[in-house]
Amino acid sequence: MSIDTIAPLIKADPDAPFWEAWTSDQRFLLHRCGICGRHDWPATCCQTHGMSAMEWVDTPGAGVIDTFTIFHRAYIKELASEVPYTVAVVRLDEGPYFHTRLVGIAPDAVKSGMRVCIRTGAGDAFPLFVPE
Amino acid sequence: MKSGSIAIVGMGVTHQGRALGTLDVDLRRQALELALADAGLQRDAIDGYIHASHEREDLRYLGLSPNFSWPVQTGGATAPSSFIMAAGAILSGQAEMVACAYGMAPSSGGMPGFGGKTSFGSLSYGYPARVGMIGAASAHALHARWHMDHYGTTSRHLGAVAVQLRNHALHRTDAITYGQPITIEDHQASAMVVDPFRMLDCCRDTDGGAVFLLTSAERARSLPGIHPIYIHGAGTGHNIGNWHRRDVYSHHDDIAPAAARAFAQAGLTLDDIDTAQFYDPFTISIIMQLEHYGFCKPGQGGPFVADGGIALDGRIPANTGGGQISGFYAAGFTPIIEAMKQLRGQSGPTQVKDAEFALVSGHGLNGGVQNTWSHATLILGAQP
Repeated sequence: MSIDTIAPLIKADPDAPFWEAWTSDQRFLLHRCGICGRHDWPATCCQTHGMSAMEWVDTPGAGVIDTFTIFHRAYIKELASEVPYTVAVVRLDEGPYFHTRLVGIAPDAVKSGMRVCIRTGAGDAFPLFVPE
Repeated sequence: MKSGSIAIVGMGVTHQGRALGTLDVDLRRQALELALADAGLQRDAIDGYIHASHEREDLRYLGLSPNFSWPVQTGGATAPSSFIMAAGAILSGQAEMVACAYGMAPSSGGMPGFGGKTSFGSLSYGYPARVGMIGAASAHALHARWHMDHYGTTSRHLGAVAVQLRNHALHRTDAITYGQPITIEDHQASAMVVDPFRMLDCCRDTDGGAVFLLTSAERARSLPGIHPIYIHGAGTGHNIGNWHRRDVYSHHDDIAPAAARAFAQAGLTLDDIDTAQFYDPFTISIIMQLEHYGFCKPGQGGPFVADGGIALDGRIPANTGGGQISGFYAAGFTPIIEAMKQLRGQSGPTQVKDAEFALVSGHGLNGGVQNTWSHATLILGAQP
């Protein structure tokens, strides 16, 4: 049982532009309504203006920790060497939530409300966040 | 739905326990036979079937021949939602007697959770699984951490919930923790799983079946020797609204619309409720639902429980069978079963005296990045 088995990244789904931009050159896209300017993630239909005005736009990838949990147990074997690790929900500056792994900080030092930003240059397959 | 127009005339509950080694379809068959006996009915009385899950073997194996068989799967809100669907079928003239059926054997390996034939994929929250967010405990731990950081709720408050539920369950022979008391120190010493949850903050999978038979109040009056319980109100709420409002973690699903509709239909207020039976997979679930249903102020759920608020002599005796954490996990049927027992005066050592109205909640379904998904509320009464 691997993470690829339980949560495969499906390249053809509506979020494909996000993953392509991240894996090709570590750009962090959000789905934005061109009329009201609301940002969302994953791909979302604007509740007011429909889908036609939605576009993928570059964003800095920064925000604050809204909440988090520290895994002390490995639910699958391949995570055994990684516990304890921190999964955080970041409230991006543009508004949407983004679930990620916090790196570069000990789990017991993590606090809600901390500013965090995306880690680039490390070749991460999934966008991971570090303290700003 | 008009208050008291639908009656629950039969309840069948199998033994609930760890690794029973019984097929899930046999758990449903056994529960069906218990429900039919409870209602004094034969199989041919059932003309509607709602299965709290999905597959295509049930009708043949259970010996039923209804006009419809509807699968429903909306996680922990499935059980009360199946009652709402049954009421809709009865009130729209599609059926007179609907069976709402549940039977699962997850602790016998029937629901691995990661996908596959019998799984809902319930352990993977979509993209967050890519960074190791796996399991319902972590999804609820996000709420618990939020609550602690915003209101000052502590691990000992969570522990107070665990101890209170165990204090109910240890007197109940139908609970998997019967005769096994715990202390707050036991809670504090139990292993951390997904911070802030320790082992004793979490429920365990159990195997078991439950079937309920629903009909009109009018038809119930014609059945001799039964003990019907009545639906006075029902409501639903969906977490996607919180997601769009970007306010997921201060909520435990979207309880407000579910509660408002149920209480309006019933013409009742919180003061009329004698006992509450909440869907409680984790200790924070009790705390947040007490707040969102209005039994205490926002942020006060922990102190409320620690001060005895859900004890038998407290403000609102809740999860009197030990809930899912200390009783047994029959998904959303756990709170319904206990509400039925309370209203029938069958809760034994944890019976609430003269219980007339019970509040029941259903909560859950893995909503991926959106966290949980659906909520449903029932208000059940001992009289029409």
